Amino acid sequence: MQALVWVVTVLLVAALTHISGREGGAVSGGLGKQSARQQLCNGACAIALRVIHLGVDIHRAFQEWVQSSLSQAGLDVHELLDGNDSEAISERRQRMADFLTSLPQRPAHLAVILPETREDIVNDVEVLCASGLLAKVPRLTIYTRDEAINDSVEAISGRLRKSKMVARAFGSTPRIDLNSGNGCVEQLGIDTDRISDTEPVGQRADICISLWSRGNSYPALSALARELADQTRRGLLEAKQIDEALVTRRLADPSGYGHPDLVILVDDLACLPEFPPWQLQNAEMVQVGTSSATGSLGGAASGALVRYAKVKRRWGK
Amino acid sequence: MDGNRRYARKSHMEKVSGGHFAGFKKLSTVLEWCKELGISNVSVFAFAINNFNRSDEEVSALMDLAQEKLVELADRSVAENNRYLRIRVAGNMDLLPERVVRSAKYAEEVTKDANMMTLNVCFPYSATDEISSAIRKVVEDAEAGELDVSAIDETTLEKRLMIPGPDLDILVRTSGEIRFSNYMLWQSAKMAYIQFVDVYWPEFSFFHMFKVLVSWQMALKSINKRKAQMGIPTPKTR
Repeated sequence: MQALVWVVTVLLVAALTHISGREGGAVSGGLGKQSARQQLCNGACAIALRVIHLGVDIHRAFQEWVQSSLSQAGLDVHELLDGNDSEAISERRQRMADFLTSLPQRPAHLAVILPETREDIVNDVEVLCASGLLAKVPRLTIYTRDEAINDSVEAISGRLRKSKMVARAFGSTPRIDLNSGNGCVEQLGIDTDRISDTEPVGQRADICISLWSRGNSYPALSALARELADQTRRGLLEAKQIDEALVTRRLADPSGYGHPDLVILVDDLACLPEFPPWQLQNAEMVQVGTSSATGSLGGAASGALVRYAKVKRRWGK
Repeated sequence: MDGNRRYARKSHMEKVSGGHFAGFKKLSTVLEWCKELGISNVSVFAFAINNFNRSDEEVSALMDLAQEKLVELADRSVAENNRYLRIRVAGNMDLLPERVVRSAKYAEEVTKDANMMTLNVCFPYSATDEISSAIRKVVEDAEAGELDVSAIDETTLEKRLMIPGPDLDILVRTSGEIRFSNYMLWQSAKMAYIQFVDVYWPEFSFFHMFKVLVSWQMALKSINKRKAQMGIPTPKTR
């Protein structure tokens, strides 16, 4: 039925456009007055397009409401993690964790893009950290285009250090590596007796979190180009040695994990706000509207993980 | 242009190359739509660098298709009086067989004066190869004294990309996959409108295109507002 409506609308607009175009061609000199009929056709085209826009808007709003209802009813991770420790809640939490860890594939590196207008970034990082630990995702990147996330590093660190939500998700106090945009790594919840000297640094943590902003994106690529140009000038490198393999080594994730496998875009607009382009190369992308994410960012993340589980990776073959 | 092989299997074609041929026919049709709609720049992902991992038979068939169709598209553009289509082949030409390189150079040469629409055929291409090549070119230019090291910034890198501009407005990926597959990453991350369409490329219809364009139109005001806040230039007229 929906397809039929679309077909009729497209034909109507196409017909009006064709008539309008024919009338336009009949106007000599290009500067003559538009005939009344052409004006009518132009107006009808504009009205038809506005009706289509309105129809799509209504349809999209309905879809979002349905999606939001589903995520509220289903994977309400936030409620499970923020709730009390009653037996019923603990049991549901364990079932949720078992479900997420049983998914046929989970990302090793999850990135979440938050809009610049998010009200409580510290809360968002806490929820995402807890969701990552619940699903046993070892690497988490949270990106905002502006510096809000890096300006809140101290608050984020303080919150994660004491977070009951995070502890509930992990079952005990997890080891967290927190990397801010300026390259500082803070280790939270660390128990030195549990560290093994043979493990790579980033992989000693139960979850490694990076806070990225625009500085990690295009400016980082320009900085790399300047660094390589400087090395070439000093004779440490030849320009012809610069290839994809060299750039890949320089831009490798310092935690030892690869680039993001899954990117969750929390935005109503299906546009990337200058997320680091190099790091998108292997990423699947799931978009979540801000209205559905406001109530349950954890639920939105879990929904994205379920979607990722169904993806077939072919790697060009 | 994803989904040619799955389309071939779905249509019970004898060989997957039949799907790629159907994909080329769809490309020709889509270019006509773009021409009618006044879209002046189109980029298509024809062959990824890691597609060389496919079977020798399929890679050879794709090379044959490219060799033949690049020339066909170029000759068709030249035959039309207004020379509407300029063809550029964006990719690492060192990886291609000589016969395909000749066809690519021919297509670029005979259509270089066309000014109505530019078609960037990404073949063989990866965005990481594109960015690495741009970095190398910048370093070479700095070494040659054409550029000061301190002047290297995003703009100088962007000018040296295989697809330097104009800014990408809409990125469409067919076949229902929801990933970038190393395609136009630099361009896509700058507020391009991204749409994943759940249909195989040879089945991509004007209905699908219309839906994408209408939803982009609806989002355009918000996109331009955000771009202005970010300092990304927006076109003055649409």
